[in-house]
Amino acid sequence: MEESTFRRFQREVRHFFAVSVMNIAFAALLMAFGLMVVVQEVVSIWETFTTEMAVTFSPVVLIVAVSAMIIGLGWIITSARVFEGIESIKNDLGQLTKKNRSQIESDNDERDEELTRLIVRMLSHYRDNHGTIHRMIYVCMLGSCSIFVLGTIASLEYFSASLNGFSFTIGPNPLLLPSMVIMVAFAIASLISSIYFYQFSRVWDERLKEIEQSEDLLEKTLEMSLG
Amino acid sequence: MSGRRTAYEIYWEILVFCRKPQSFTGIINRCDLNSKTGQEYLGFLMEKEYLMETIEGDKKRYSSTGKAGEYITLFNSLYQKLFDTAPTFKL
Repeated sequence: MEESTFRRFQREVRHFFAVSVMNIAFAALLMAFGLMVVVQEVVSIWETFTTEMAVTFSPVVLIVAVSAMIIGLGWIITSARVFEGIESIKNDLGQLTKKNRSQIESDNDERDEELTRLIVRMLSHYRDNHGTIHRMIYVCMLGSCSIFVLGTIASLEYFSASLNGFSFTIGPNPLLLPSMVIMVAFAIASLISSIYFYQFSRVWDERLKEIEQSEDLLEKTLEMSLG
Repeated sequence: MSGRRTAYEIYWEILVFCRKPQSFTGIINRCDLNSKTGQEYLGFLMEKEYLMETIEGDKKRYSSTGKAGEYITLFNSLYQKLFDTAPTFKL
């Protein structure tokens, strides 16, 4: 078995696993942000109708927050499917690594086939989730924007827009600045996640093309015509 | 192994698994095939003499022939070559 092939495959699987974990974490964060703003808005609506206090609430904010919650939930479900497959491949790859350390050189053929089997599984997993991974590129981007918008909305105390311009006041909470920094970091990290999904799909699309091209050779070897 | 695979990937899976004699049920379970497609794949491989049928007692067993080695080696090298060429995915 060529060590370099094994190492490269192992690195790619590990890196994609990390991106998948990060993706699930951001999906959960988006859902939590959405839920937080929904609760705030519902409390405002309740207070407006039950007390004589002049509490402001915005149906637009409520719609954005509910949408963010739904996007977050959908994002978690689709990410989980991709994560499950890659986790199983990563575990089997870990077992193969242990086997490689403990076995003797004469088992090279067997290990070679085990590696090929995992490569075929990864290709198969990519074919199955091709659409989802492509969607993730856009969902992560949308998620990033939603986290940013929701974070901004949550920190605003007053906002008004007119034809002449707009004015706003941010809340007096001393924790606002650190929370804004964290929120921007999450939004950027989610954007980076989108870029990684794009890179991953570009690399694996290229591999699928290569496989299609080498099918002629396999067909000739099998002396067949599937035509 | 389940998921979307090409016919060549399924042939490879069957031939590698049948290095040791295997039953029809064992093959379709391992390769995640239904009986109908399983019959088709085995029929093709037997017709091309990559697989042979033996009778052990009252049970049929399938095993790869020497001819299968060439296909398995080529398949392994083509799939592993995917990682020798750029680009690769990394963080």
